[in-house]
Amino acid sequence: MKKQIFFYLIFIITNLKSIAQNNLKQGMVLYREQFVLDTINKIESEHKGILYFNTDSLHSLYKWRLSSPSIVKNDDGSLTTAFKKDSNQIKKISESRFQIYKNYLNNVSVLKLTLAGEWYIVSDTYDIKWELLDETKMFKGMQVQKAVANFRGRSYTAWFNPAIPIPDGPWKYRGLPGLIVEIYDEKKHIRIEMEAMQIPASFNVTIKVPKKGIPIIYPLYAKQYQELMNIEAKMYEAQFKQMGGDGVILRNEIER
Amino acid sequence: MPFKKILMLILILQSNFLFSQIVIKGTVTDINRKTIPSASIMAVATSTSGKMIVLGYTFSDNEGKYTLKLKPSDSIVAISANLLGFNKKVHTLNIINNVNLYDVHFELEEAALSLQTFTVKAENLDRIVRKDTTTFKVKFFIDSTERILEDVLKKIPGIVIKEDGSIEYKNKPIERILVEGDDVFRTETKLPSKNLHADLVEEVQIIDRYSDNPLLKDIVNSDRQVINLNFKQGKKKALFGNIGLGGGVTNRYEITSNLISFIGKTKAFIIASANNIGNDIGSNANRELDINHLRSNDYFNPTARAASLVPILSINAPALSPRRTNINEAWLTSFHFLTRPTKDWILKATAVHTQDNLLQIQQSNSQVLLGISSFLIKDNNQSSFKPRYQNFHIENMIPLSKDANLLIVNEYRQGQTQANTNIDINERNISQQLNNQSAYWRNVLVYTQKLTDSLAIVLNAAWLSDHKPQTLLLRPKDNYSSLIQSTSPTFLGIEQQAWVKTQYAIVEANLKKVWKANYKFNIKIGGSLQRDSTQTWIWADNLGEKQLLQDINFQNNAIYQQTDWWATVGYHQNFEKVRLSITTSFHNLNTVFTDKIHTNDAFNQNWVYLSPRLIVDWNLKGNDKINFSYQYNPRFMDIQNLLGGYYFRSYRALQRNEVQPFQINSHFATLNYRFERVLKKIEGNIFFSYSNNANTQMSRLQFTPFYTLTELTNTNKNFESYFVNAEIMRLLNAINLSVKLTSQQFLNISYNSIGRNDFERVQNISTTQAIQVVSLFKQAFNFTIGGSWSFNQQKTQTNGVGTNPTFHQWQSWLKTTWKLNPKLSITTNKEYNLFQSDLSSSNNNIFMDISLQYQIKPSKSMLYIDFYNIFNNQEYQFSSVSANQMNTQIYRLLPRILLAKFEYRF
Repeated sequence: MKKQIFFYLIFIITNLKSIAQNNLKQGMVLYREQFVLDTINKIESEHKGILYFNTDSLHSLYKWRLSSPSIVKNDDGSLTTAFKKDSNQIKKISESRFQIYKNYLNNVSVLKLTLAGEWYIVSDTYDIKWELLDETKMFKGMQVQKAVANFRGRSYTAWFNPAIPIPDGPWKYRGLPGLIVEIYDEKKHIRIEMEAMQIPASFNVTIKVPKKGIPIIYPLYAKQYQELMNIEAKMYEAQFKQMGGDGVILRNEIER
Repeated sequence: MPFKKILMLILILQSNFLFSQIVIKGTVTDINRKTIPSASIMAVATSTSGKMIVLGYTFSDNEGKYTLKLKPSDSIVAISANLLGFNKKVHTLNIINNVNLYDVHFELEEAALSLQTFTVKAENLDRIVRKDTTTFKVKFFIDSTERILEDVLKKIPGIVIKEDGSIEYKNKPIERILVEGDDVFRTETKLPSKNLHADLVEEVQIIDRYSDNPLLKDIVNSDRQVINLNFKQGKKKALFGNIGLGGGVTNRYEITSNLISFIGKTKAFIIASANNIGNDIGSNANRELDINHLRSNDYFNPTARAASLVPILSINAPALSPRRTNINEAWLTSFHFLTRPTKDWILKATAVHTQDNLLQIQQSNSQVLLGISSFLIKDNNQSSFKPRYQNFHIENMIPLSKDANLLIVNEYRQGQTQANTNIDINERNISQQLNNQSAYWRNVLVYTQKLTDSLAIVLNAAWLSDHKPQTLLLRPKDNYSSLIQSTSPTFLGIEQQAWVKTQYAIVEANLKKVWKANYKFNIKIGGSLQRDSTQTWIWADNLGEKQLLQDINFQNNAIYQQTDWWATVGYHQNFEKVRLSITTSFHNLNTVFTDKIHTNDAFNQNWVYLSPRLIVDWNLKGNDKINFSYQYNPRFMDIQNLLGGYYFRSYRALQRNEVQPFQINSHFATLNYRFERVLKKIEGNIFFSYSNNANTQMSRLQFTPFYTLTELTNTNKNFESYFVNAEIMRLLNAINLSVKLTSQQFLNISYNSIGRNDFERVQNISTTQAIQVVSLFKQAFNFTIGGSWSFNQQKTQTNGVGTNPTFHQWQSWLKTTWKLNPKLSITTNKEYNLFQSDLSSSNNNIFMDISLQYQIKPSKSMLYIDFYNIFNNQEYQFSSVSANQMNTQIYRLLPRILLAKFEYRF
């Protein structure tokens, strides 16, 4: 809890300087990502990501930090994954090489990801067909509106704020007339919500197309990823067994 | 007929088909016709619940073009275009029958700094920064042993409570304490900080660049910083507050109460407190009455006040907490009311009554150094000081239109002070009884007209009057018999009567302009008239029958009048990293002095001068900041400098001035560097200031028969002060400790010319080094431990002979808090002091306090048992050095206090 507070605090404080600087066209948004790592055993994971955007040059960069899960044995004997909490995380996120570049003028997102020890530059073209609903709610003091879409096999619900006119959101999500502050899928396997934001803000992160990696298009990458996941699942299974677990199959259905 | 009906049906269906889609096309450009791609185009409607809903949207393409297709709906109210960094443009769409294609062109304007800033936080943040406001959630910083607001504020990072009770945040003073956005307490910051209960507050907000006139919010270049308190949600009711009653051995008492009411847009506070345990009640009662002028840069700043001819006793207490030195019987009752009859109409009323009965008992040994000669003065001094003070204040801010308002302020202050001093000087007794009255009126009118969003005019007018009659009785007769030619056998002593009256009127017009968000400009033109009149008489008291001392040297009847006309130009610019503010005033000052008794002293003098002020705020990398300021201000004589005849300034200083107009040129510069390394958990501040009072003149002083000391009038000497303060704080997260190091250096250079015509340098050096460690365990036990060392040296040359008296002071403190269980906590406080000086052998004191706090009913009733000064230190010895004197003083302290207090919160 204490570390969490400190973590938010750093996010806000590190941006104090931004207030003095009159850069109205850029901002940063901190998101918390929760996703089910194992849809069978409901093993959940939590990441933090930051969206850095600039509406002058009409692009954004989403960086996140991948925490490595370690499997721990609970007091009652059950097994869960635990993630190391790190108060230095904001700085580490800004330094993270995991990133998604989005240009608001086209439908291409460029991702930088690692797979089996190699860095890949993945270009992904997509258009999320959002349907606006007339439902609104208050989210952290803001009036937000509901929108739904089907995207790569999942039904998503997104809440966006029309008062923040940027067509962006966490991860690959984009295309609504306001910032996406909360998004989750029907089965609640994935849930991302905004935790803090600073607009305008200044930051040391440069928004540019990621470089230094093997260029690849998304469909090919997805195939490789799924293959690797199967191997990883076997590895985790073995680890579980070693610790006295019943032996499970990890199945990651997340589009990531 | 059926055919017609069918045809009608077809037509209706067809028209429905035709209007099944409305197409809106257009382009989005900026005001220079440059296309804006990726702007959000939204069709907005109002839902049944009154909320705005987006019905459809699209984005402008690379050429700024867009096409938005919509289903027809009666509820479409507007089409908007927006992109972050621009101001939103909204067009109302009038849907016309048979028309399904609309052309809407949007021209977006770049947003100014005033654009809404978004900052949203997570629930468990301890602080939130939003534009110029930093919000601290109190629960993260307190341990529930806090009793008053000040105890809470002390724990907020960056807030420092100064010795006099004033508050600073990040080295910048806090000018006001607001409650829920309302400026209820106005310029009184100590009153809420010393009296409001700690339990009321949920959030403490620091608001920078505060402006109390809503019309000027984005136009003025305010540099003011205030605190806003947000109360706990459950507290804000029609009636809430707390009352605490305490009693202890040997007639000790403490009463504290807050009676608060929030009804709609109305807030009322009744604060009453009383104690004789040394606690500061947060009023001005124990200080000389001061004009509580509008401390607002937005308006104007009249500092006019009548001088107390005989200064009211100032208590010369050692640097210990008031609970050791403040022998008091203080009472405070205050009423504060604020209401908003409409959104912009604010009505405020305040009534404050305070009184105190202070006692000071001290022995002082002073060695007066006059070059090769020196003499010793032994004082045994017992003084009682009874100030009473009332203040009534009404403030009315009336909106005249959407863009104009009028502020009317009426204030009346009245005070009486009785100060009795009994003193033995070298075993010779004197008694002084001073009665001081004060009646002060202030009436202010401020008219503000906002002409455009970037231009406003402010017209100010104010009139104030301050009248201070005084009587000073000096006994016994032997000390003063030399003043009268033939001593009557019934002669008892001397009585001085004096009154000083100041009247002040000001008018000012102020034009404020802001353009391109970054440039602010204001011009002020104004004039003021100040008239100080004083009359003094010295009487011989012959068994109650008063006989005026006929020598006209013992009388004054003088008028000093200042007429000032000025024009001020202020320019403020925000660069990317630098904020620059330059203000220059041109003054034409006319000073006229007349004295009906000493008619030759009259003068009429014109002064023309410029008074510039420069402020530079520079944001460096990260959160580092440099602030530089410089200002030049001349100071002119006041009526006290000008009185020609003899008059008593205190029991032993009979003064006669040489009437001469003069101007002291005062330069003041500061440099502040602040750094914060959030990730390394380290922050610090280095502050440097320099002041120079050039061309300082000193007046001739002649002391009463006990000893004589003459200082010649001198000219063209610079009195300089240098001050450096460095602070560094490190948070050691791994062991939950915060460490703070402070280092302070002070150098003061002045000159004296005792008994000779040339000047000799007097140099006072002092240095203090301190360390403090605070634990942040958030658990059952916490502590604060610290220590400091101070050194003070005076280097003086008098008649060619040098003296270098020095003293050292070591202090250490340990405060612990033990939360034994959720209901019971104990606080201990231990202070250690050691003095060493050239004058006396070293002297040390250990003070110890223990407080017990028991929660009888959570958030309802509490019991406190306080045991102060357990070791019962009755006296405290300390030393000081000044221009020609070395002093050792023994000061009487408050005795041991044992007090039980019950508190009820509702």
